Amino acid sequence: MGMSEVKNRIKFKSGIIDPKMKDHGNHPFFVKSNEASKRVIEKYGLPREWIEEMKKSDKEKSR
Amino acid sequence: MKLKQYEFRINQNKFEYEFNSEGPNGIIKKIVRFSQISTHGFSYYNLSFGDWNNETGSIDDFVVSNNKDAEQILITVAATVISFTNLFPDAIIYSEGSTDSRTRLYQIGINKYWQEISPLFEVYGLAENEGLVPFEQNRRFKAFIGRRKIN
Repeated sequence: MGMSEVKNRIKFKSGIIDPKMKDHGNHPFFVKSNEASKRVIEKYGLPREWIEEMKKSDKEKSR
Repeated sequence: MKLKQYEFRINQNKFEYEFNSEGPNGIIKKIVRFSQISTHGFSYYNLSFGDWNNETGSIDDFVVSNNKDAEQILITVAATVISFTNLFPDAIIYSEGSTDSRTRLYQIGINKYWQEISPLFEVYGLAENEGLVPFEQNRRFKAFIGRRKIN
């Protein structure tokens, strides 16, 4: 896989897809973290600018 | 100065990343996950990461592995964010630490590499009593939300 360079300080290397890797999506650690994030997002929403952009994009799509 | 990251693996659904932290306390497997969550008509990805505990066969919530490689871990997590958003360029990513000190660590990382992050990502921080505001260096936030800039 390729490499992406960000300025000169950090050279990020891409990862390797490993078909043997397990998925821990249902692990209580992640479930708990997801629920906590949802509480925050439901309370504060997204940045106002992003919501306006989304509305604009939805409007354009529906035309 | 060249900063090294750990090599990481990606699972087939591309939502989970793994790498090994190596230090005085041995090899500790780290798992980074981007979980898609839908609410109020939009979706975002919650970035969370923890240590795999070989003894319990589970992920530890609050363990401090103290492997003297915090910087390398942060760089690697940043690399997984770059990799993930290369695959899903429209993804909105939310993150907060499982403890205040971890959130603080994320903040230190974003502050330190803001020069590299800001051309690539729009980042907002969750500020006490103000909600989500554009990220500012040296300001304390409780959580972070970001997305790739369209270049």
